[in-house]
Amino acid sequence: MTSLSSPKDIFHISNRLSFGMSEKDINKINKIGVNSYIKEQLNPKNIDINTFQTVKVSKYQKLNMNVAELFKNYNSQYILSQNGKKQSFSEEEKKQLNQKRRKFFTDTLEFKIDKSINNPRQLEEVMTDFWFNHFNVFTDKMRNLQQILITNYEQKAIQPHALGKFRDLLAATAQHPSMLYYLDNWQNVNPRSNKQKSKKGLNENYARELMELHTLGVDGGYTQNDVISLARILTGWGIMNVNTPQSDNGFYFNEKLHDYDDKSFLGHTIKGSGIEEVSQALDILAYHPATANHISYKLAQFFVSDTPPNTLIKKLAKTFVDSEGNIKIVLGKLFESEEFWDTKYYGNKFKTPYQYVISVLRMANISQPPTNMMIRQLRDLQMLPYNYISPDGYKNTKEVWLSPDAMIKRLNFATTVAQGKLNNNEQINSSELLKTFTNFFTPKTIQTVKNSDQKWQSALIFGSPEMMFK
Amino acid sequence: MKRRTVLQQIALFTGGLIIPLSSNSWVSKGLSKNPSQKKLIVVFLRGAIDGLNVVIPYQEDEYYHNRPNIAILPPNEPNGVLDLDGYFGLNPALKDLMPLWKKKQLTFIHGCGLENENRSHFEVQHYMENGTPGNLKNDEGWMNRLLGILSSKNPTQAVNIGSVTPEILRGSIPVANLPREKDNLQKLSTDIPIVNKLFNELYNGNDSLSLAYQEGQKARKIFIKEFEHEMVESSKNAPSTSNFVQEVKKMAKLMSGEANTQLGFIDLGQWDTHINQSAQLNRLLMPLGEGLATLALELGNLFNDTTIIVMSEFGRTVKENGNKGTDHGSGNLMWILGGNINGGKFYGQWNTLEKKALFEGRDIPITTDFRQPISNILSTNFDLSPQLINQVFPNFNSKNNLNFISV
Repeated sequence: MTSLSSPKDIFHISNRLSFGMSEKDINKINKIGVNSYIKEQLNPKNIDINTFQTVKVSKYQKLNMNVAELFKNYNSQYILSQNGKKQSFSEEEKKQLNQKRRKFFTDTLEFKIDKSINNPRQLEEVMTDFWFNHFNVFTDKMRNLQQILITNYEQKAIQPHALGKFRDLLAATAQHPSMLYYLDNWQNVNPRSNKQKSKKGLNENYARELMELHTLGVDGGYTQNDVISLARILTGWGIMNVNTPQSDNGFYFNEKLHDYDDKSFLGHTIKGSGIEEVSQALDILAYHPATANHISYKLAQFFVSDTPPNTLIKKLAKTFVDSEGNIKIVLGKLFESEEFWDTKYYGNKFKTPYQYVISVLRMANISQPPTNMMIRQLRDLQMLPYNYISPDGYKNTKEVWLSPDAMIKRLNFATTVAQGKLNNNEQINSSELLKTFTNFFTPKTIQTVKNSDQKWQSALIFGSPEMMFK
Repeated sequence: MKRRTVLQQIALFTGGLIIPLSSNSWVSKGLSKNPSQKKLIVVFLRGAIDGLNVVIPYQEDEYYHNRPNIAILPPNEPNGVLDLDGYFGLNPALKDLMPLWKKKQLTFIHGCGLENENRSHFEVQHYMENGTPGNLKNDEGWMNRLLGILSSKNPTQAVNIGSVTPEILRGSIPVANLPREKDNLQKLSTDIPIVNKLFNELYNGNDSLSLAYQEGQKARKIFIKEFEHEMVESSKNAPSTSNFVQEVKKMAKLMSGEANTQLGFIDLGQWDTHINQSAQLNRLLMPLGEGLATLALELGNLFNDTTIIVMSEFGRTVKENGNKGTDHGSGNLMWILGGNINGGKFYGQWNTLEKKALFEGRDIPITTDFRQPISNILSTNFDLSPQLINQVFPNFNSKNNLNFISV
């Protein structure tokens, strides 16, 4: 393909690989062509992000702390132990600490929205969001801890591997305190190791979801015995506290609580050896053909169609196996597949509320919307990041998100943005939007826009059917 | 959430008149020629209310030993409990409920809860709302399944107070959401007539988006018309009691209106009283009592066919903690109000507060699964067969009839 890409292709590529078309990206694609744009997005390290990163370095610096630093600053147990003799906080201190954590979490959301809109490595952001939902955790379970851990989970466990190796993603999420708290594995211990505290014992929660949701899939051919074996393999796999050895990432394997018997897992025998057992189990899971199928289905559904074609799933699964779960290679295969370029799938993915909201801001070129308004809007649209209760994460299909209510709320958002309410009351100029984006809208939309009072033209553009889909 | 079913349901409803009570809500009017009068309202107290300071076993010394700072004194002492049956007394902040108790229209079931050892707010609420304990991934609420069953006989609807449909009502059947009192009825940008007209042009087709838009807009219009009156009223700065009292008034108005509304839900938060609980509980209980009494009153004759359940995820520790508060416990009271219940006495099991009678030596034990009283209501008041009750609460075996409803 030459650099003269058709508007339809540009619409397709820029919407599917990013959080929505922006003027910058369109100019770029017009210059280098869709294929080079895809290649560039697949290799994010080559995309300069200095301008994006320097905007608010000081404000977001605390969000980059490692888990040990986070605990020292925000975890009440750690703060108390630093204070020496102190046993508990006064109410005032408790209140202050709660406020500090709430502020931290508001900044976490602001940063998430900021990078979704502004990070030039859009595909990496999109994939980070995809994997976050795949390995979902939820703010309100153990809220005091999750509020401070979630951004670390996303930035350290997920983002670096979003286009990397699936096996690394699996290891990073498995060790992260966010996941260990959310799916209870920090409480998963060998029952025999712990007779005096009868309450604790084997906890299958993480072991089950690790197979059902993260790897093999619900029909992936494992049994309840495999769940129990995996839970036993994961005993003692937990989080540091003030009394254990310390680590930067907060992970701590307590060998005293581990079950050292041999286990039979998915037809393999795993010798009781301690921490190494988990590596073996993750290898089995990451390279299992059922995992390749499961992940390929989810990627095809996310990038191509709510009901993805089998031919594509097969191709991707083969690539997944051949490349040992190299996500970049699998996505490369996806982006060159005939299914991906089949025009019948163009513009057929209904955006999720989060994608819709971010795409409007990207088109409107609003880079720093007021955080509190954004939180309210996203909550109202039922898709505040990090706020999905169950481990299967937010869905991305039209069936889930299209409703009369959703339409009215989206159009209200579109109009609100057009009026400049997220932009210091500076109305969004429709003539500039039309200059850049006219080619991507149907004649009907353009006609309706042009026939209307200029005051409302931007609202119609943001609220048009073309903006609801990607 | 299967939105396809939602749209189908809406398509079915378009023969009638759809009234939305907020932008994501649907109330159909004039659907039913024989509206069923039986109604169920669930009030959920999020955060785990301290049931032991709602209904106080004032005859037990253990109660006072365990709670030196937060106990409520016996009857006739200053701010003492209001005697219920010579053994238990009611928190005086709930004085508005005493007439209902005396009329036998209020009862409490001891030791209700979710029978596992979970003390996580979010998980237990999740299970109490999806009605399938142990299945975290089910995000369909039991009240929505119930709505489906009731609607299949006779189109009916559910109303929720709040802008976001709570999990308990989430599912394939659309639900009406009444705005919370504190979020006054806000105008949307899309209500501006010219904006409205422009989007009407943009979405005038037969595609799924246009259809969804058209339904949404139709609903919104009726909503504005219905509540114009309220918008004026609320701007008059009427001496407001509490938000909750105003909200239940609206709910009662809707439930007694033309639309066949059989189910209602409202939640109240801030019950997680780990610190200085007395003042907080007092502040929260007064409007709750007043609101429930108001709801009963406003429903008028319909109260005879209505059951109101007040529930919470779990109870709190028998012993107060070091901060004059209480921590997460297990069993709790379920409150039941209704015109046709055998109230004025207690149900469930009470095992005293002696340490050996407590769960893990610290909590009121759970002796009645939270689904049991609800199943009794569904069976007695709604005539649901055991099979249908099983659709509402899969894998739950209704064991016994607690007999708190008079047939």
